[in-house]
Amino acid sequence: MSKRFNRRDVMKIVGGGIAGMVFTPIPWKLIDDLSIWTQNWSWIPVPLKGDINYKYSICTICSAGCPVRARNVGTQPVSLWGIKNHPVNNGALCPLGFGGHHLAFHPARLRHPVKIVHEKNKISTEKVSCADIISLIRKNIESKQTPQTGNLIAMLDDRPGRTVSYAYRAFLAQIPNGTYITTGTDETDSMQGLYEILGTENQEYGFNIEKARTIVSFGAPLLEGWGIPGRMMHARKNGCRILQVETRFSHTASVADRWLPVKPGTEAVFALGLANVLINENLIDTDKLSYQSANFDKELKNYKECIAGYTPAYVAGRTGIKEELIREIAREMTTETPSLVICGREPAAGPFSREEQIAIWGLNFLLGNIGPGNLIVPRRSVPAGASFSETKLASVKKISDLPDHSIRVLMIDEAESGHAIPWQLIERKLVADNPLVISMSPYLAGMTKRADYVIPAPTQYESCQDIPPSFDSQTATYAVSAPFYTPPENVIQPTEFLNRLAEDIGIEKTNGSYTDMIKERTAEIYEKKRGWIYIPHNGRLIETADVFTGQQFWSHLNNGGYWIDEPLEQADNYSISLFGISHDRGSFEKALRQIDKSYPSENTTYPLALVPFGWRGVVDSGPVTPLITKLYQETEFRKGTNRALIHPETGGFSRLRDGAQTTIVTDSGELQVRIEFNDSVMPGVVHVALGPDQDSITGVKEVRIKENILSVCSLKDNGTWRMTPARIGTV
Amino acid sequence: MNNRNKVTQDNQKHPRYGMVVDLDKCTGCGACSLACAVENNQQPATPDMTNRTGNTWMRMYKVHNGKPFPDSRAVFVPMFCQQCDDTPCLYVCPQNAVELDPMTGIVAQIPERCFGCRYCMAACPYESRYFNWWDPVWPEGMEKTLNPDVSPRMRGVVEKCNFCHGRWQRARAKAASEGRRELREDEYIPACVECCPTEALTFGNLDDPKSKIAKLVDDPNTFKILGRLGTKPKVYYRTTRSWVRNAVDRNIYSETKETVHG
Repeated sequence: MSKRFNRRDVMKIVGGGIAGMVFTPIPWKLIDDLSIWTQNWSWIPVPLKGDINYKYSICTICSAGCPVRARNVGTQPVSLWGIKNHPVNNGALCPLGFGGHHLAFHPARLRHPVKIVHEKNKISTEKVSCADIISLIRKNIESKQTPQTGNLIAMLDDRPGRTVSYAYRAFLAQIPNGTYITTGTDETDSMQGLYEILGTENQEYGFNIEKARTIVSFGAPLLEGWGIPGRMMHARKNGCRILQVETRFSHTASVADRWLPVKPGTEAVFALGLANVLINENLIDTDKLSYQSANFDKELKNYKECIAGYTPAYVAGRTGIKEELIREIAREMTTETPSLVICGREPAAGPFSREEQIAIWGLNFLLGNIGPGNLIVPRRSVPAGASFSETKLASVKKISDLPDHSIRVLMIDEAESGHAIPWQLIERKLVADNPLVISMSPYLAGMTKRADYVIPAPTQYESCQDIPPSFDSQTATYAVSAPFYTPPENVIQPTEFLNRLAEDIGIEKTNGSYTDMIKERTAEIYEKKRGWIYIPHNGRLIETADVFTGQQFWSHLNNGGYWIDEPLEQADNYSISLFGISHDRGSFEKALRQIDKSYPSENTTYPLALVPFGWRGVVDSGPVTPLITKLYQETEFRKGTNRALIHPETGGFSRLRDGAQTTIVTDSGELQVRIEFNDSVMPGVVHVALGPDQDSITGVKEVRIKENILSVCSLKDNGTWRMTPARIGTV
Repeated sequence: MNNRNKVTQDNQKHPRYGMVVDLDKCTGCGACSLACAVENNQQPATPDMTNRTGNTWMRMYKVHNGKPFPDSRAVFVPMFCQQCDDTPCLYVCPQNAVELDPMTGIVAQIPERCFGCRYCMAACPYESRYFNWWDPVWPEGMEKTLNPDVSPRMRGVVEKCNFCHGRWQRARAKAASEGRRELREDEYIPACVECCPTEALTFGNLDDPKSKIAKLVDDPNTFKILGRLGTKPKVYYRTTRSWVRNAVDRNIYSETKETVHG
């Protein structure tokens, strides 16, 4: 019997087939293939192929100058690593250093001189020639300005001591009203109080951190990036104790052996409280100290009288630290020895005032820490190079020391200090009438966004750069950052720009190229035949005297070598004054009274203390490796810009909830922030983060000048902004 | 037969790599996070990426002691794939995209097999697996800086720490070229271990009783996070402070990946 194959059978076969197919690998394979097809596109990058080789150089992101070993494919670095057991930093690199080779490709990179057009809500760029910019500067130099209208031609350099810094100073010395300035916001400035105590300007000092058993840190981010980070990390690994005197529960405070959360602005009062205990409990070695001061007995008597009022009971009331704990810390400083006191600064919150610094650094004198063989040791300066020693150099000035509205032309060097600089600090020194601001930066980011013109400078590992010693280094050091890349065609080395400008205005140019200048400096170091040079290829320290020729010495440096000077056995004559050389007892006491009054604010309109915070190398808004998002955006490990941390109790008073958007209001303005409750924050204090802008991380299509917390901080005449009275606005 | 059984049935003696993280030494500098990203070609975040959608094989947590100001204390905890011997992610993967390497004990993720179901992410008690929500794109020119030993993964797959497998391959090739089958202790270390400035991370063969790591593992101050789950992680943590141990073990597995409070 035959059965007709009808339509129903066709449907059954098709239906059965579809149902059966589910039990075969076909649909799964299709899903798999579909996902693969939709996942792989031509823009997914393929790593470079080629020979692997290694090169050595030095990181120039900050002034620490950490040595790096680059793993290259051909000539292209694909990763940077520290050099294990390196005598300068023990092989440590900071997170920013690991991404140093990314910066040449940063989206904010400029590859041509540009004019910046400031529009209402954004900024744009127009290509110009270098000659146009030179001509503008020449016109300003030649114009006869009266002192009343401002006539300074200034160069702002936040990384003084480099060969380029001497070139700037030599250039400025030749032009009328040429002024060389620093912002005074870098770590070196935190040493000024120490130099005041020592009464010396020419003798440099560094720290023998490795020898310290205890470090009492006043606000220094010791474990987050201070000085050469590897040194502190190494000391910590070897058991160095850290007592952190800081209002904020910072990363360093979190893992310190003791966190001493003083009320904001009372660090100096706390230091004087410790000094009071040290002196009154006879914890100091007066016999040893008497050798360091010309009139020691009189000096000590005066100082003792000056700080007599800072009893532990009084200081406890001012700082919020218990009286007994103050005594305990002072005793600990003399039992857990040797103990070093560091006056630091929070990278975003600005430096301590000179008087606060004197009060803090003075503890080191009482502990007998100063002098050769101690914890604060003298070191030699690195010579500037033959051309500059003989040339007249413009003196170094701090921007806050200049009169307001005095700068007509401001040129800004590309290298940033890693610390925050409020634009107001600079802006108020510019003439009101059409100032000319020129940035020599590789990027359209940070302060460059405020400029009128940009000369694109070479970036990291694109040109030969020299590295003078970090401020904390215990001996003089010198190194050369050898380039890995050739800079793009229209990128101009700042010294080359200065030479073109010098030619145009008819003054003397510098000798040869920038590399020649650095070579000349190296030759002068070599001639002294002192110290050692560390060779990274084989990990050996060679005596400078054993290097046969200057050319060989240069070759070592140009291949990642690091010159390290011998320790200085004898310092220049100094006589310590605990009030600082620019103060007498009266003026010091007056300044202390001012400091003591600063917190809490009596102003009921602004009952909170606003203290900004951030991370070295990031708060200056300069470009950072885009991979920094691993710490800022993809995790909340570090707080992004305008995140305001407050104690829940403070939030309760202001009727806020966690995560609320609100405004912080100060005398200087207001800023939108996002509130984050954190019960580790001192009640009555608001900490606002200064993080990287999106355009300094991955670049943005529309570049804007964004206001940050520094815009609303009260900037004092001495260039500090550590604490600002504030209130939280309406939700 | 799954990969885990291969380890036990293979008569050849192979290393079983693990790590000890000394929480008392970690300063939370974050160098390990960046070094890991550079070594393993992890892409930077797009502007809309958040802490829940980011891709951080080595993730830093700040764990608090739970006490308010001024008694707050905190510890930094680097968290990454714990390389479990009893591997939940391996069991749940429908694609065999997770492999427990019998040669090393390392839990590997095979992106070519993964089709992004994310079962493994749900199964991982350490939240140490990350889904690639975006195409791996670097700023123009920066793709030249990619590590040639590691392929960038495509969008739509899960990825995680593999103890820098590219480095293991490199070290093994070098040893083979010198006629050796076994690697020396310092010959293969992951990027995070190499870069740690305080030497808070110790890496090595857990089965070698002479190794530094084996001695650390025997220390009574060493513990496993969420050890009670029985996943047998090969990453250990170490601290002499009891509050740290309690806070980390109790709270690292939290509902968000933000700062953890004890």
